[in-house]
Amino acid sequence: MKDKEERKLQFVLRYYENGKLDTRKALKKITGIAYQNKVSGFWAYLSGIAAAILICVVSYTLLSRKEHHTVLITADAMVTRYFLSDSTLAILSQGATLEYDTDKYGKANREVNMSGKIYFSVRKNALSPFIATTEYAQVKVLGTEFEVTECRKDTATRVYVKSGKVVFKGRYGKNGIVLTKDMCGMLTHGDEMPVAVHAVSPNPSAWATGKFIYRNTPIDEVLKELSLYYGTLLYASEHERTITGEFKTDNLGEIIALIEKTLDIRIIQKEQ
Amino acid sequence: MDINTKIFRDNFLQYYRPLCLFALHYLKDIDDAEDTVQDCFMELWKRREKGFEVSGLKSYLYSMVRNRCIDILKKDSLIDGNVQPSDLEEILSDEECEEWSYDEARIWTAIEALPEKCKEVFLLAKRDGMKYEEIAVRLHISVNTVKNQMSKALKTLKEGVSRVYLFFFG
Repeated sequence: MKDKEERKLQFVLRYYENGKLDTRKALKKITGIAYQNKVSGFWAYLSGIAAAILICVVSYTLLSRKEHHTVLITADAMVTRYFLSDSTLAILSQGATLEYDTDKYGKANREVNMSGKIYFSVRKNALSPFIATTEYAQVKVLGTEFEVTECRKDTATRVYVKSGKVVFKGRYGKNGIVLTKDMCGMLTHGDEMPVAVHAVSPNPSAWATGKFIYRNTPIDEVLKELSLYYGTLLYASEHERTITGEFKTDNLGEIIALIEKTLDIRIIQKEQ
Repeated sequence: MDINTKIFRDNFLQYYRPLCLFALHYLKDIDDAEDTVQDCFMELWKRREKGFEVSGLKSYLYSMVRNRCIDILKKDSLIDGNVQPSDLEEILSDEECEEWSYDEARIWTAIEALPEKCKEVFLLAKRDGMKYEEIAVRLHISVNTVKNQMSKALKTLKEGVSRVYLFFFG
């Protein structure tokens, strides 16, 4: 058997037990439970009628209002992770908002409105593109990981693509630009078309992914990114070195110690 | 929609085992995986009874199971919020995991369908890592019989797994 097939077999064997994953037994179990629920549910339904009538009377005026099925998520105090119904993950930075229609999302479309900075990891679905709309811009994707930033104080909307491919355009524009892995795009508010720009740092989405990843990155570039991220000033005793590795974002001291030890250099930290 | 309808039964028979194996890649516990998938089917049935229609049932079910697994794992783990499925060797992507779960369900079904003695020998050797001599002593059979049963099991499995499968994993 091929390697993958062998791995699948090993996985099955690791958990195989006689009598487990018995489909017919499981079906019998849940149809039994469902039947019980149905019977008790019926009585609960009858006994609840009085309460329901009461609620109906009290909320009569409310019933004439139009029903809303929009969900609005706001990251008030800290970075917030949120899974949409199609398993798309949205990581909202502080102050960001995400809004979508629960009746339509994942069924008729996959459209969300947003503001602030949000990192998306979109579940692939070739039949239903994911569309994120901000006040000025729109990003359309099939399945990828990317970040959109549009803050009130900014005069431009920025998009960074971590993997996959997106189409980035002005909100009401017809044409946009295609951005692929590690590319950044910027739409200056008032312009029709966005432009591709260089990423400010190697890991623009470290705040969301919790990781700094470097591949032969010059030490000065690494320290510049870390300085910006942690709001401090970092200098290396040598400049002609490069780093390859992954670091978690939760402890700057640990990152510095690791770099110092691996490259045998000194890193000087100055508070800003 | 009634839970006893043919459609519900057919969906259950078709997706239950692959979904359990999919959940197993996250939860690493067979009972938890079964409970999770059963809960999802119950939930789906309740939603349908309320008139909620689902298009693309397969991906809907996989999403439901995946979200529930992540919820369970996140509740248990306060430190690492990064939940990813894996096999015995490495982390898998969600797409891979979904794809693998079908093949694994087939392998499971093929093992289950082995003749009793053949299955016993195969599991002792492959799952429990016993040598042929040890199996022979334990089952009071000759080493040659163990070898024969093993080659029979491997042949049957290979044929069973590579064939176009039964539609249901029942």
